Amino acid sequence: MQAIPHNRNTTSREMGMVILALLPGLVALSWIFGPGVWLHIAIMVPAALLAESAILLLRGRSPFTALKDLSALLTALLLAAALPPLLPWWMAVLGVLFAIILAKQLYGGLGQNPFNPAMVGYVILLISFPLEMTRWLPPTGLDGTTLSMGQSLQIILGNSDLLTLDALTSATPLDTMRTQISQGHTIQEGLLQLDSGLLAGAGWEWINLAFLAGGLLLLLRGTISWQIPLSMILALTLTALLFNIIDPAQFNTPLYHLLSGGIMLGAFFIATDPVTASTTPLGRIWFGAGIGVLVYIIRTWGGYPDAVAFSVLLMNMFAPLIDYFTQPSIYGAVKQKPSARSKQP
Amino acid sequence: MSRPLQTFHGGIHPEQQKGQTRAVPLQPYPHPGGELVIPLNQGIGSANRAVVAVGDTVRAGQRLSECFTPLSVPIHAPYDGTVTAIERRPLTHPSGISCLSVVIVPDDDTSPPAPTTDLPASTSSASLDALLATLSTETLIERIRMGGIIGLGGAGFPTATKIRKGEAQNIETLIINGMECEPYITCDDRLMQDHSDEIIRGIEVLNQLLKPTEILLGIEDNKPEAIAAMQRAATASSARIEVVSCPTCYPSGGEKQLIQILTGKEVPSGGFPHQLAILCQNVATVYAIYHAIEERPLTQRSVTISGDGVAQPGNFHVAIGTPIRPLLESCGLTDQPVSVTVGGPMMGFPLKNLESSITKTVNCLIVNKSATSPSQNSPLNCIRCAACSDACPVSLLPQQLYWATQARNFDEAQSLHLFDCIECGCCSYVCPSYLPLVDYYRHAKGTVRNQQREQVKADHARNRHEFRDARLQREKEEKAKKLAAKKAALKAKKANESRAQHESSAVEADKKATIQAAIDRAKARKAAL
Ligand code: SF4
Ligand code: SF4
Repeated sequence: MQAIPHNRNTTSREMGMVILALLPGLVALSWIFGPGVWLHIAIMVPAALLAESAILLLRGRSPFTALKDLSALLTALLLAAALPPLLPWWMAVLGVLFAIILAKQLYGGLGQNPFNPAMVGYVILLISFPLEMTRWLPPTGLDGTTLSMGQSLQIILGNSDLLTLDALTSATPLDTMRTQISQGHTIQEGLLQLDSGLLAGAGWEWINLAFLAGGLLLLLRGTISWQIPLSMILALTLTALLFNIIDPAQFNTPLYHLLSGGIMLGAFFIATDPVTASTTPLGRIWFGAGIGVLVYIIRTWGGYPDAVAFSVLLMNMFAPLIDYFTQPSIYGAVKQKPSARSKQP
Repeated sequence: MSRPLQTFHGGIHPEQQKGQTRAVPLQPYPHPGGELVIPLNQGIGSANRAVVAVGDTVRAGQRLSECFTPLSVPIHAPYDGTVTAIERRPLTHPSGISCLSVVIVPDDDTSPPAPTTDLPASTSSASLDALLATLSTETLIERIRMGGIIGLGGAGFPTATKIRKGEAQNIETLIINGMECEPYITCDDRLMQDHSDEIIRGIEVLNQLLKPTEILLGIEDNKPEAIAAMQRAATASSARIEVVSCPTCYPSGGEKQLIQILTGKEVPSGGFPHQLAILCQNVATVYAIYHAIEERPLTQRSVTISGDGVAQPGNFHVAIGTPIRPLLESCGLTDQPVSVTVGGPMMGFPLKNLESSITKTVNCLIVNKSATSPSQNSPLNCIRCAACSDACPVSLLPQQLYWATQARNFDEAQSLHLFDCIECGCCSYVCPSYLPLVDYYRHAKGTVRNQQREQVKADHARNRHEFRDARLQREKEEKAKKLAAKKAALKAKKANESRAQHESSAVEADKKATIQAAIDRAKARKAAL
């Protein structure tokens, strides 16, 4: 077998780049919501690596080569970035186990899984523990009263009773807004209920901007291609704009949508997961656009406050179909003339 | 030069690795004595039959074989010498098979291999122009064929056959391929610098044969000296030849990619360039065409010898049949174990046997110390990153082809255009999981071809069987008919006989009766007396 020269780019390096690019977002998260996210990472990463190794050993593979690809590490980080910062530790661990074992290894490991593992973990947690999964801290980082490491640790380890927790936590802006609107209030009234941020929900715009920065780095480095993030963001913007024009009192502005919840994390880090996304250039555009529109629909009319996870999983389902219908025309494709074809019986 | 160029999809920029040899002019490789092993089977045609016998003395340029299909061309003796054997020897081929070869031991005072530049035309001193003016098209093409010319860029397709096809199609664009896009290889680069006039003469031959409306000579812009040399030579020519400098990007030298770059046209899938009224020839082939017209058959070719496993890499005119080991040794082969690649690193193959010899399609030998050659990273899972489809010059979906071929789902692979893959290896080059993608496709193609061959054979066998059944049936019927006829004849004969017998007995009886009657009459007469 001929050892063909290689550009020396490796899967491990690509994954490593994505992990690096996640850092600004993670820092922003912990700045706004306290160090919970780092605590989650500290328990979820070992859990993910252990789970991956255990399954690989069971399947009779060497865990080393698979761990080298860094994909388990990345899955744990992505899930941690999506979890509420005070989620009890065992739920976080459960989520990452679902992600690694159920969503990835049971399908045959990296590359074989149809659904984004981190998002599968997230959605299972959301369905199983709706209360805990929607309980976010107020963005205390903005006024300098974030929970300390010790306090976060106490809560995550379950050493505080729910009462103090309820006092501490609040719903996310998206959640509040949903409740307000469903109670017949307008957007303006809803915004008054929130510690309104500069552009969107308080604090969230900084987190989204930080993830955006990391995402742009990935784009510049060529680690991800532009089609999915751009089409997702454009589709969400246009849909939001359309409804916002129809009835500004009922429907929020595009900017609000773009900078709330997990949009930038989703657009640059989750929807771009190559394994579960479309692979053809045109297919990626449809894939991203589908997520953008679905996010808007689920946020506005669905039963859950944020929608990135559901939208990504839904589009994961369609990725093979999209790929099938968007195969690029190959060099020298013999183009059949429609007239010639219609002449055939 | 100002021609608007198109680009092809994808492509890569591997390290050039040409520095080792690009400054080394082409020199004749002096044969060190010992055997020359010339395989009867080179290029794509079926094997030839030797027309010399063991013990014969041969002269340089003498034809050694005859061939029977339009896809094969004869082979020739590079030096004066003696045929010492005609037997199976290892062939320089990916499979490492052996092939019936003519073994020649050159005479001691070895003449340089014909043709070299300083060699006068061996049989005809008439200039090329005179030849072109006097010889018929048919004679010219026959000289190319009998000169043993095949595509020297690597494909090995008989040049005369290609020209005949092109002639029938009224070629409009003649493209000469001087791209040499593979890393390491510089022999075409050197040929263009050191033998530009002969290349131009070869182009003039094709010009005369095909009468194209334009002639384009494409050269990658990493070879400025070759571009300058060819431009200089082209201006002096009677043919209008446009030297086009093209951006360096592998695999721009692929026939289909070069056509796309220069004309913007795409060869239809499964089709041939001549369907677009285009014909492509490699510069080394054109150089050989010129010599063949002057009746100097193809007995040597230019070869690049490079890599860190030889101390003196370079470019050489090497006689066809030269065994590889002494050739590499004279270039300073290291003592360490080496791996030798035949052809470029992207599309070449590992040499199985150092004892095999240079054939007409060997353009490069890359010798690497096995110890230091980068150990192949162990392949990880495909992460569907689509880096491969971004790099594929044919716009295939290599990752999907990979899934299909790996699952041995060859129907699926074919519907993903497996047979449009040009095996350039761009996908393998970029795959971050280090999957040997192109190996899967080569293997799949081989398997499908074998299956098809089996199918044809099976069909053939079934046809034959049915035919045989029908024949047997017919024979049986015929036999039965014959038998019946015989029987009938026999019966008729018998009947005749019995009737005859019957008749004769009747006659007899008559006779007897007459006799009796006579006796009776006599008796009666006696009694009456
Ligand atoms: S480049 Fe390799 S890993 Fe990426 S999609 Fe292609 S085959 Fe898979
Ligand atoms: S080897 Fe085949 S599939 Fe791979 S890049 Fe080249 S043409 Fe495309």
